[in-house]
Amino acid sequence: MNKKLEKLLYKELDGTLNSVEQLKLDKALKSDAAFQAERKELLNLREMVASCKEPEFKPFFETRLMQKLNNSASEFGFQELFIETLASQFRKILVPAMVIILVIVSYNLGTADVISFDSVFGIPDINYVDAVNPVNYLAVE
Amino acid sequence: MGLATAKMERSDRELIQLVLNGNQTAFTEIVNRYKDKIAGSVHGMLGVCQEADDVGQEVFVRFYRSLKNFRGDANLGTYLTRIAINLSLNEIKKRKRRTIFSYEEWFQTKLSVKSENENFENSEIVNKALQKIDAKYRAVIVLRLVENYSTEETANILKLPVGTVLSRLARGQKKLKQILTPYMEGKK
Repeated sequence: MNKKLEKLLYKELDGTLNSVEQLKLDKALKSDAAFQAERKELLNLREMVASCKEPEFKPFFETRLMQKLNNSASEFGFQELFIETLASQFRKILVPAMVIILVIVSYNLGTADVISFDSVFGIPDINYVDAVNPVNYLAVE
Repeated sequence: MGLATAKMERSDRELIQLVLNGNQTAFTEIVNRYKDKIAGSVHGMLGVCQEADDVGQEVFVRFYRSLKNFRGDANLGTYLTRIAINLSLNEIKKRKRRTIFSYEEWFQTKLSVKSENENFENSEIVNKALQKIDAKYRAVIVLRLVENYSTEETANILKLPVGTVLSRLARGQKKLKQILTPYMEGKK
């Protein structure tokens, strides 16, 4: 079968032929018995495929589905609720927290001799040995 | 008249709204309305098996969880079919990874034995043949020929250009014909 006719045939089966193409196809079908047979075969194939539909799931599909949804709802619902609550709580304190941080940073910047990460965030210049030495925090003046 | 109105089916949109308000019966109604359509697509893609049933369940679970996001741009049936086809394609990928024996060989044996058997059901042989063709052609054949979606709807579900759908349909049909020819000739 030639490519052009083949294309026309598939277009016809798909219902997308225009009138000019339909005429060409009809002409070819009248004059070519092999082409006619090919078309018949394809129609049979389509019919076979269309009739093979297996429209049913196993029994109690909805019951099993609803059970699954109910089981996962408690778990999924809890996670969702937790995240939403957390987000809404943080949203409430977000603006005041930002303002407080800005005030502290500005104050630290204004009073610092040297501008550094430690001075901006008010981190005291302390090393590990000083931090664990009890003399530094147990000494009574 | 009043009774007729009361018995009138609720639209998908109304049902979705009811589900969003916490009415689970409305969700069961949606499932009942579309489960056969989804079964057709999933069975066409995966064959009749446990995985197909699991994928069918997953389609509705996903839909339930994303109900809030369903904007209703697409028809609900089309929307669910899209989920079903995507999940089936994922399942096919998983299946490929875990195949430990050659399905093709197994199928060939089964086909040749069965084609001699007059009692062998058409639907079973077509389903097996469908499983044998490449998933991308299978998806088009299932949607276009089994589910009877138009070419444009098929293109929309698969997010492909119409031209690609048409060429895949033609190639898929050719492959299917090659596989089924011995069986079709045996039936004559």
